[in-house]
Amino acid sequence: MSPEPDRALVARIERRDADALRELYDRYGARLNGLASRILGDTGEAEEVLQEVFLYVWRAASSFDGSRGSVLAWLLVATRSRSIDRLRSRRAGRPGSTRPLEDAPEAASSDDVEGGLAGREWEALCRKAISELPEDQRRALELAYFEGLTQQEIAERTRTPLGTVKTRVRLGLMKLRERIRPYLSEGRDAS
Amino acid sequence: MRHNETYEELAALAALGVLEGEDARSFEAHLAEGCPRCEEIVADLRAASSALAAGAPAVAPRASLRAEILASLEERAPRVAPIRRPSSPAGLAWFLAAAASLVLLFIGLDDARLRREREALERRSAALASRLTAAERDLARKELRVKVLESEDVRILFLSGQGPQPQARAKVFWSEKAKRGVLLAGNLQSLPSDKQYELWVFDKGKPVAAGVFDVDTEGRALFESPDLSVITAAQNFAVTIEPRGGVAAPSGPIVLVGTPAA
Repeated sequence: MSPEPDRALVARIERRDADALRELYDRYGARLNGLASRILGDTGEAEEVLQEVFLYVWRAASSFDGSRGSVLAWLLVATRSRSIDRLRSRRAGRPGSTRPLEDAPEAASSDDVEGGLAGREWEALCRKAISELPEDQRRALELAYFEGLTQQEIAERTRTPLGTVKTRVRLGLMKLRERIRPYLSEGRDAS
Repeated sequence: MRHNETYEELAALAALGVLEGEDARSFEAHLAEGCPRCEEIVADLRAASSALAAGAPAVAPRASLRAEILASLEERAPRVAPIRRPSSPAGLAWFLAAAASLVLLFIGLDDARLRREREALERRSAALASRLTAAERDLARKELRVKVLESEDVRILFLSGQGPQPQARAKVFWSEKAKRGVLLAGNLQSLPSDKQYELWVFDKGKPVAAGVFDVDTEGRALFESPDLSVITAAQNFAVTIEPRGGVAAPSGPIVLVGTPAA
């Protein structure tokens, strides 16, 4: 029997089914904890984020918009934005705070990440796509994604002109999208 | 401004949430003017950015965390083990009774300590829950604002200062589909504490109350209207000064009014 799709779990969570939340936690808890730990570098704080994310899922499952993205992407965005918030408040007081655009409702493409590919395959293809990026693009993206640095801060950190940073971020993300897109549609067709 | 490659660059930065300063303002204004292409790029690239998470290895959380999360889903009534007094000891059982009361004494002390700890945890948990609720409310409000600003049918109306406050300026971003508006105002005077500004939406020539707001110390306000599904088609917007809490029909002086849509 194939495992229950993520979306079905979210629908059950919306109906206050705690078993479904447990199942979702078992599926993605380690992945989300890994992301929060990478950003925060502190296991205790990462686990607080994980707790917040699952409480958020429990209370706000109805805010998940399946037409706009996968459950995993929704969870990753929720985890990343909470982790980055904590990271930024740690660095509070520095000038030029960023606009919280990542707080926007998750608007991933409708490609169904977990529907077509098992979590591990998805992870493997993402890793491959990341490793195929030119070093300077990968570095710029990682500084933004994991360290929450703003464009100006990335420019300072990498001693690169701001214009170049912007171009690297755009090219890097577009390349990631291109690498991942064919797998996504393939996975979807196969399902 | 029409869509161009500069905005595509900003869209990539926005997808990662690293836009700032003038770029952030200019991109927000561009989205507010309505650019489905940029919205699509942000959405697409945000999905692509989730792929970066795969660069972080999965880390199994502490084993007990799952149970803690599941336990925190519902407030459970704390269970206190009742301490039963033994039936009165009789005869030869005096030794056992004495031993039992000694044990009970320890249980009693332990129980008091546990109760204090539990109460401290409950207080902490209540404080955390209220912080969480506040944060969730804040997030929901931001999401709502973005929903209006990013909706495809968003219109911008400029409101100019009237009567007592000719220097006041405001913009309303209105989504007919969402039946909500976001007001951005500046140069407004601060009001006495019993007064508030009230926003009005004109529908079929009649003003409909759209909520009250205050200004900051510099006379600025950012205000999201509530759901105004009663509106059939917003024709114009105005702001008046009203008693705190607002009124159902405008009674005070008009300070801002927009140019009606054609």
